[in-house]
Amino acid sequence: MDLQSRIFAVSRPSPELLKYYVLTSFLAGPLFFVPLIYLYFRYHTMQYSFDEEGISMKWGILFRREIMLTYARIQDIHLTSNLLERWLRLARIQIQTASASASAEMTIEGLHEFEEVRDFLYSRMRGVRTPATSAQPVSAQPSDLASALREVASELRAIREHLHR
Amino acid sequence: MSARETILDALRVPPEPTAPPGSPPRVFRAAPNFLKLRMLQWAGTQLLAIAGLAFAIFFVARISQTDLPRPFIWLLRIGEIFGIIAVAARFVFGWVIVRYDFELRWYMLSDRAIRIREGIMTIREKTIALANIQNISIQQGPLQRLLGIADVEVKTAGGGGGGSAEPHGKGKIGEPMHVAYFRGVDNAEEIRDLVREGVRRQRDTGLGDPDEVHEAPPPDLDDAVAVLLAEARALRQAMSAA
Repeated sequence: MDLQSRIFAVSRPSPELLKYYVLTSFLAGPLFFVPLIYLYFRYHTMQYSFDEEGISMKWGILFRREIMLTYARIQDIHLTSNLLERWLRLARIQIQTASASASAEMTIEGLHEFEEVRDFLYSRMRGVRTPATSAQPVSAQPSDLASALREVASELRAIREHLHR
Repeated sequence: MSARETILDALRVPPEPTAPPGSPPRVFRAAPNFLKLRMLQWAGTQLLAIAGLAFAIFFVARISQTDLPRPFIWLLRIGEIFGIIAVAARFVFGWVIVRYDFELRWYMLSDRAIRIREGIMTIREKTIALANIQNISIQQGPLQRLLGIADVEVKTAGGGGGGSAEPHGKGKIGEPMHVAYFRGVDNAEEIRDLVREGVRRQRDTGLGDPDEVHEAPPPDLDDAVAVLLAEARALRQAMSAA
């Protein structure tokens, strides 16, 4: 399978993400169940979908959230991983557009194939992608303009010759 | 296995980052003086911590001579031991972090993108397409100036008031996402020029539509305009002669 079809097949985070969520919840100490409940449902409802146009990601049961990004609008992609994530072979892909928010627009987490996803996104994002070739129909116009200018020139020549006579 | 390999393996530090898209990248590294600066900062912090600890020990020694209840004094003693362990651990751990943080940073520059990898505990790998860069600046503090190093800052569009972006800070996780630094390099001017050169070669402004393409007018058009101009001039001369 090529890179694109492999990426398009991604829809759920790896089970290691749930382990990561459980471990990080215990950082909250005696209140560990508060993040744990939220993260448990976040893991179980998290859904990715990659298509031709962009990525969408959704999660949540009570408060649902869905984020959609177009590849062409992506500006920076950062790969971040802390020690715990690396032990679980995970990393976060933080995606930025040119918006005014300080945090990432979308954080893709829980994928073992993060490097591949990152490279795929890079090949599609703004500035790296080869420029669109939509300029083709537009270039018909200048030659129209050129012939019109030539016509004006021949018109002027006719006036000049008329003047000589 | 050497100590170095054991540490890096335990921290699961991935190998050197792969090259960013575009031509084979030029790889820049932090200058040796950057390590000196970091060591200096580390030494300063440790000195303060040790001074604090010495004061605490002195305080406990004085207070245990008074006739306070015994359990209270024992509690203080236990706290003292924990304090010593914490300071000692920070001493060693901080040194290891500073050492490897210096070694394991890469600044890559290809003809299309920049890739910066830094960090030991939290590893960040930023990749920025040159087409998206909005501005470049060089920052240098007095200590850095003495050591002949500087930070090159590269920004892309977008805000993010992620607090003050501390240039020679530790590169916290909360660092603004639209900024990347070439920290502690001794050839800041060269890097700046190379990045600017690369940015100039990109065709769009990084803000317009993705299919924004600037075409040079076809030679056909230039030709036609030249003919028209010659004709108009000849006409004027003919008229002034008449």
